[in-house]
Amino acid sequence: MSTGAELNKQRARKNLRTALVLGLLALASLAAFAHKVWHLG
Amino acid sequence: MIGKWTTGAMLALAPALAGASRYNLQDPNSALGQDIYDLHHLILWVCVVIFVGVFGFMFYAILKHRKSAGHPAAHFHENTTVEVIWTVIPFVILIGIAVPATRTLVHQRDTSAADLTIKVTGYQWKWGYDYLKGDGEGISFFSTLATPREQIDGTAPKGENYLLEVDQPVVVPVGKKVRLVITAADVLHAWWVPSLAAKQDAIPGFVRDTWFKAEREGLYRGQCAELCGKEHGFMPIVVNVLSAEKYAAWVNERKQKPAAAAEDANKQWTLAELSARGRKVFAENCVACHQGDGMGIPGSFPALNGSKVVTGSKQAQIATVLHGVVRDGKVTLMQPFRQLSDVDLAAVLTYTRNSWNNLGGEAVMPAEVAAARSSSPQALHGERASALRIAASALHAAAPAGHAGAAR
Amino acid sequence: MSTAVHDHPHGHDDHAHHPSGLARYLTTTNHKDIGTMYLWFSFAMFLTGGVMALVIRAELFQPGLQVVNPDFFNQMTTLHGLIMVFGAIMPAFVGFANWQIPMMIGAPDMAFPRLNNWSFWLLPPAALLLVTSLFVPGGAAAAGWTLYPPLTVQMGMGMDLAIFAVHILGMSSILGSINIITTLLNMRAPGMTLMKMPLFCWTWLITAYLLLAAMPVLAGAVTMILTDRHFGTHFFNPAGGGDPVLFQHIFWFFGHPEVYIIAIPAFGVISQVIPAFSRKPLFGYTSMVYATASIAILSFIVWAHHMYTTGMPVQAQLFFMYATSLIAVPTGVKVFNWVATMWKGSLSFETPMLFAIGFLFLFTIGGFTGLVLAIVPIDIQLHDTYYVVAHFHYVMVAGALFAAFAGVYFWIPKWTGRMYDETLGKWHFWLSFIFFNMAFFVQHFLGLAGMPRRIPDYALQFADFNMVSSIGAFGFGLAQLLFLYVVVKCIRSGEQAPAKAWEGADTLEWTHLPSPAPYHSFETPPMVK
Ligand code: HEC
Ligand SMILES: [Cu+2]
Ligand SMILES: [Cu+2]
Repeated sequence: MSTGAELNKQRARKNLRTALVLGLLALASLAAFAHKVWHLG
Repeated sequence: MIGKWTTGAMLALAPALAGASRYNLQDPNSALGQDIYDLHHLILWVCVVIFVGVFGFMFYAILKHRKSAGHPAAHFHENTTVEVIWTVIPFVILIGIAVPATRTLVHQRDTSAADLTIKVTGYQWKWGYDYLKGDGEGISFFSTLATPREQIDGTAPKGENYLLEVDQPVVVPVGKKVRLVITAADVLHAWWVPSLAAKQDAIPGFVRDTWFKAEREGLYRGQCAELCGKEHGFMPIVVNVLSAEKYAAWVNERKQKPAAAAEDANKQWTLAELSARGRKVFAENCVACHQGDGMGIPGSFPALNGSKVVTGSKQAQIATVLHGVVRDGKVTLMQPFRQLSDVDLAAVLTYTRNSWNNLGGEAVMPAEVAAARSSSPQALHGERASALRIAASALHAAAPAGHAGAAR
Repeated sequence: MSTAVHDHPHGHDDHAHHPSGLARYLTTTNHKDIGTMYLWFSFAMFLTGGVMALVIRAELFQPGLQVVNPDFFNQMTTLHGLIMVFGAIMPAFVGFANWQIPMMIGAPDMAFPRLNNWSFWLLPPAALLLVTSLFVPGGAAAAGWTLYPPLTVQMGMGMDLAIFAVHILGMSSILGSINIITTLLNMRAPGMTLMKMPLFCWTWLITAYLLLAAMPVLAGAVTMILTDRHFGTHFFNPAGGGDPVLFQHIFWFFGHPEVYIIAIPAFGVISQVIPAFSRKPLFGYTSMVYATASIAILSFIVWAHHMYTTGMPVQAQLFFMYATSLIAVPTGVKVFNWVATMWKGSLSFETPMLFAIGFLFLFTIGGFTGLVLAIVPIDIQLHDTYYVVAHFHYVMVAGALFAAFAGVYFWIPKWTGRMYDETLGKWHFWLSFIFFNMAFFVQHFLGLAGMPRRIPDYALQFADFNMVSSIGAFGFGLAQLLFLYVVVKCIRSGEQAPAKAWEGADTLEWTHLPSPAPYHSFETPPMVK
């Protein structure tokens, strides 16, 4: 078992990857919305 | 006060006891309204029974399973059987509700086979009615709040139908299916008369429809139900349901109106007569924005007292009120008042020219308004006719499907 | 609420040089500080929005116009709604998330502490925009918190400020959600599987996903209004081929999930409090998780139940009616689970439990009126009436707000290391409970009898219930000052709280950390079996 500090380092990279995916998710939501509106309007 | 509140709470727990409509939906005046009323009762009772059941358990636990009564905590935290039961039973109940709800809804949305069709237009802040098809075809008028400002401001005692009274109610025959095609001129409004179970948003640029069939004669009141700006609370709806004979008589009388108006226009008016009439027209059409003292609301509505437009050339004043004020290609809140008769327009213009500190001593004559009107490109008749055309095409689009369609 | 953490010594001197005073709060990346700021901010907004509500209720005390003019009245209803939803309730639960999630999963902090600081500090400027919009020419937006065009296109520049405020608030929510999801997915202590997380964490995981999907849509919708207002587009302008109803579809596609963005964390708090005071594990943990997830998913396909009177095709109305009714099933499961948790427990009734039971009781009423409103023919009668106002205040106030109170009373011993005054807490509950019902129960009758919402003046037959409602509203408002007093008293002079302040509490913050929780906790993760 790693100590807290080591664990946090390992987590940092993983966190960034997760955030990236989530950011893309939000963007996807926006894009889907824009797409929808474009076709309605 | 507190007494009323307790009775209120009591009646809420026993809705069937609440015969009076103050604790319940208004007494319906149509078969559809009755269906909705009954549907509401059904669901309310289902809810009350479940509520009492669930919270019966909870209060039992609160009383018996309390630590202070020495109850030891059990340790169970799962039970597949009960979990399945309380998932499935609500589902079944929902189906039981959905069946009558669907039936009522399909009935409610069927606007076909109407005896009378009326176009309703929401304006900031009044309703316009055009009788499109059926007895009374061609009748057309506006309906505005009739409650005097003094009652609202509290300087006069409030009347029985405070805020629920209009200068001209919509008149319909009893027992006939009335289809309303509804639209708006500026922003969203919603036409709603609770006892007739008819509510429909009025959407600018689109025509939607609904219907009602009143079972009893009388006056039925409602209000605009979609926020439409400052005077949203002050654009009521009154439906006058008449017997077949009285309705026919009303139609007849309305058809005479234009003749009376023509007579008015030919009359020789004095400044005093016009001004007196103008005060009434002003109170019905202009106070909401320009205020009774003519001072307007700074930042929103200009003062007419001391206004250069009002005291300046008659032509410009007539044009302002007849055609409204257009700014950057958009109609401002100062909308055209073409719907007012020449006499009413002349009267209100004369009144504002000669009130407060405006003491020009000059009258605007109906003939001058008439001249301005006929020389303008958008004469009244043209506009009305095109409005009717839009509505008529919507009738074709919407009728076969039995529900509303957009007018584009 | 954490002034007490100052005097707590902590062992990690590399973190010890944090500045004090205002600078500490401006620059802090500590989840506890940020949680505290969220909670105080939300309370300040709650009071601001509350004063606006009281202006509304003062005007409605009697028929006639006495206190404000109709235009200002509309500004009040609009700002009250926006401020309460985006400024008070949502940040309150983000405050809980900040304080509790790291402690409950055994993490040292949130995944992105600096982002966390930024998420919070976006809020005050947004709030400032909303409040100052009252003072610009033409006043604040007066088109209702739903911002329906074309009315919104008529508004003055107050509307633009409101739109910017919504943009900023949305940004803050999205950043906060990314942070929360990442924390929950990656930062759990070894051994804590997802299905071992406390339910509060689960509800936030689900809520954060809802926020991620819904907030960009709201931002898009208000941007379209902005361009319609200033840049000549005609998305919602019928004269240019636009459609005002399109906005409603977009708004409610965000708006209905928003309802659950507010309600689901409240479910989470209640799911911690009820087991603790029943001294018995939560009944049906797994089904709670699934029920919450199904509510969240369903919330994206029911939006048009807010639009039954726009005149959509009957087939669409039927679909939305069925889908909406379906939400009653998972919601029912949750209520049954909570009652089953209490069943055969060893119950005690401290203030958090009182608020939780109040929540259960009143939220269920709000749920039932929601079912009534889901039924199209009935909703067509009740849409845009006081019945709807009553319904959503049962869900938002007796639901979300009561849950937030339950949460504050429950966790404040952990946050401050001190106990609140139990007697005063109970007074706060009973006053809130009674005045809440006085203010809002009668509004059901007003709506049924035909009183539209958003009107500054009304017909005489509505007079007495409006008076009752106004008295109730003022009583409710005053009761919240008592809450402020209880909290301040607790921070200043409350009795020392034990590490495990509640006998039945069993999550990590109670079992592994002292009270108050140290400034840095779980720097070495605990092992979860
Ligand atoms: C819905 C609100 C509203 C109503 C009702 C209304 N007005 Fe106006 N009026 C306005 C606004 C707003 C302006 C300013 C338009 C602009 O210049 O942008 C205005 C401008 C005017 C002006 C020009 C004043 C000036 O000094 O520029 C006159 C004259 C006027 N209105 C007369 C009337 C009369 C007469 C009536 C009733 C028949 C009436 N208005 C009803 C809102 C209203
Ligand atoms: Cu209105
Ligand atoms: Cu909804």
